[in-house]
Amino acid sequence: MSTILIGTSGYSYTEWVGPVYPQGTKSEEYLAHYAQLFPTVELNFSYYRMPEATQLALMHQSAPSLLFSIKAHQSLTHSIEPEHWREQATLFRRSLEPLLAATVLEAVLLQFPSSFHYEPERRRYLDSLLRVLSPLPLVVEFRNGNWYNNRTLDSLRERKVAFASLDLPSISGNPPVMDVLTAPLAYLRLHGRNKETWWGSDAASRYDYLYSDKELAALLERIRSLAVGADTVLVYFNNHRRAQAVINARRLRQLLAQDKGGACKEIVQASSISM
Amino acid sequence: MQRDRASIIHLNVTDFAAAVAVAKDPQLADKAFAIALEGSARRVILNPSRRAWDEGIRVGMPVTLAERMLPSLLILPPDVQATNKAEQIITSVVQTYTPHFQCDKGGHVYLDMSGTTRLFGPAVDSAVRIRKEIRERIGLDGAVAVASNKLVAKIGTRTIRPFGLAQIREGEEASFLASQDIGLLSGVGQAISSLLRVAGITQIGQLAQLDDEQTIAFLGKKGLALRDAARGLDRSSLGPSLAKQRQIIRKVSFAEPILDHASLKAALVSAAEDASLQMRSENFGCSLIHLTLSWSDGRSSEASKRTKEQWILDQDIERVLWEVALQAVNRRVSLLAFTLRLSDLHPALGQSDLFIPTQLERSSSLQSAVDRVRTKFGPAILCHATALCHAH
Repeated sequence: MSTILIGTSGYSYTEWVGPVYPQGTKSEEYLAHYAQLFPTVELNFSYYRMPEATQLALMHQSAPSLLFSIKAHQSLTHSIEPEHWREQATLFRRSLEPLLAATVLEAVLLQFPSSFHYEPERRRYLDSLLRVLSPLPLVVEFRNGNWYNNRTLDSLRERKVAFASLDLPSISGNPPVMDVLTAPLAYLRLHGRNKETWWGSDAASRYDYLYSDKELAALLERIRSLAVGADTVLVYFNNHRRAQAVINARRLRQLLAQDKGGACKEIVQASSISM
Repeated sequence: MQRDRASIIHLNVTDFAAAVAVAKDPQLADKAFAIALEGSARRVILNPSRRAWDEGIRVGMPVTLAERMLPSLLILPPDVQATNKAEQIITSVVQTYTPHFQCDKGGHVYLDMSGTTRLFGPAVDSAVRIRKEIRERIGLDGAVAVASNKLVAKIGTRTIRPFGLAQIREGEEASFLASQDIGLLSGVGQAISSLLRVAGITQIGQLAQLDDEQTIAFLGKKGLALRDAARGLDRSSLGPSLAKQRQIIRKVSFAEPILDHASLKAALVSAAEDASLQMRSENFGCSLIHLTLSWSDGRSSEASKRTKEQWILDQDIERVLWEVALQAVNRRVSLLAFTLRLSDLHPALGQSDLFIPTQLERSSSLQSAVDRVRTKFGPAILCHATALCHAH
């Protein structure tokens, strides 16, 4: 049996007031409204600012039903300082305690940039980081294609760390599509397919994309394949520019419900062959 | 119409025979078991289950060693009927997507999806659906990869196996291959792998970087093909599909009608040596030997023998063929010709080296040596003494 949870990457966008949140909604009320729409959210403010335990405890209080994934702080993935990263990792880990205690932490996302190459020094760092953050439910996302190899996958399997599957524009420089289960948790990030603005534009333009129903139906098949063998599949839309993430996440949940007659939980059983 | 770019799909059901056994009997799913030939002098593991794999049991490992490592290991004989049926079902699924497909034995299928985008959408979506259909119909899951050629698609599935999806964009084959383990490259077995490791080459990209001179100096001229493969170069097209029942055939017509067994045996041995050399060079073994005899009165007779296991070596094939011949020789009429068919071809053991043999057992080492000589100088250079009278 596998549980599929669908949500968005981030929830705190002022441009969502109106299309998603009622007019006049204050920023501190966003999360409670969000929790009425989706069962899970991927927190990404934590990438820019080191989260604090009190802050995360309050978030849980304002949306008790919500399950969280959280993106690791940039000091652990993008601007790594050899002298200080352990200290940062400890701080980050401590901040998660309220979510862990309430058993609402589904995943911790370590998203590495394309400049994070598959090199011995980086591999050693990743190994150390995974050890320090173990046994958190870790997910690793690589934007550099050289990590997409059998040794990386085997290493993640050994450590029971999830390998993030991505949906990105199919253009040169992006990593290959790869959906592989390396842990009981599967994690899919949908960044949109905006080829024109992917490189050389601001982050908002990059994620300005609305998936069509046809594309969502195909993505649903990918999700269902990931669900075979996984305990949980987390799916997050990151095409947030004009609230397309919400439109697409809602629609995908509908498609999933139509498919199996349930909201966002499905039973996956292998059929057997009779010969 | 513009040709679709990366449009070759490879489906790889890892450890096919073991996967079929689990699909047939789901209670095996949690057991450590392996498929191995019965009663063979050279008894080795053909397919370990996932649980057995986790315990260190590997393809090609002697059964005695595997049982020492894991006393609870369950050894099952190959179930040719079940694997054939599974292959038929897989074929029936893939042929609804494209007429251009190649179903190899052992759970490997290639599809050329060129020109199907308007019908089925992008090739990667078809790959996901095909995997799902096969899973739902017969409970077999596998790895699927989409790439611009067979070689890269195959390395794609080897990268992610046992299960998963990969898509490698056209133009990015070399960069995808670069960081993959050298052992994923077809043609790199134990021997070449050891040789490359001595030079510090452990990733495909390192081999791809060698120029012609370096490659020849290090691996010989045959190494160039391996180096090109490391660069993702592959122009091979999809071969005949399982639907055409792949088999190796040798037809022999006698210059003059014969009546004596010695002459027939000599000709059969010669034909068997030739056919089985081709079979081994394609890394297959056979499970069915069929013989048709054509008599001088215009009639014919035939006989065949099947095994649940696999015949690979000359000595086995020649022995069985003679038994088959004795069944077919049931008349006192002159013989004009015969047709030998080696059928039910299955991949032989594990990953083999492209040009360096790895078998250590005496008979298989001898066979490999004979094959090398015959491949290099022609089949006539070395043959069984029995075959000499046919040759002359």
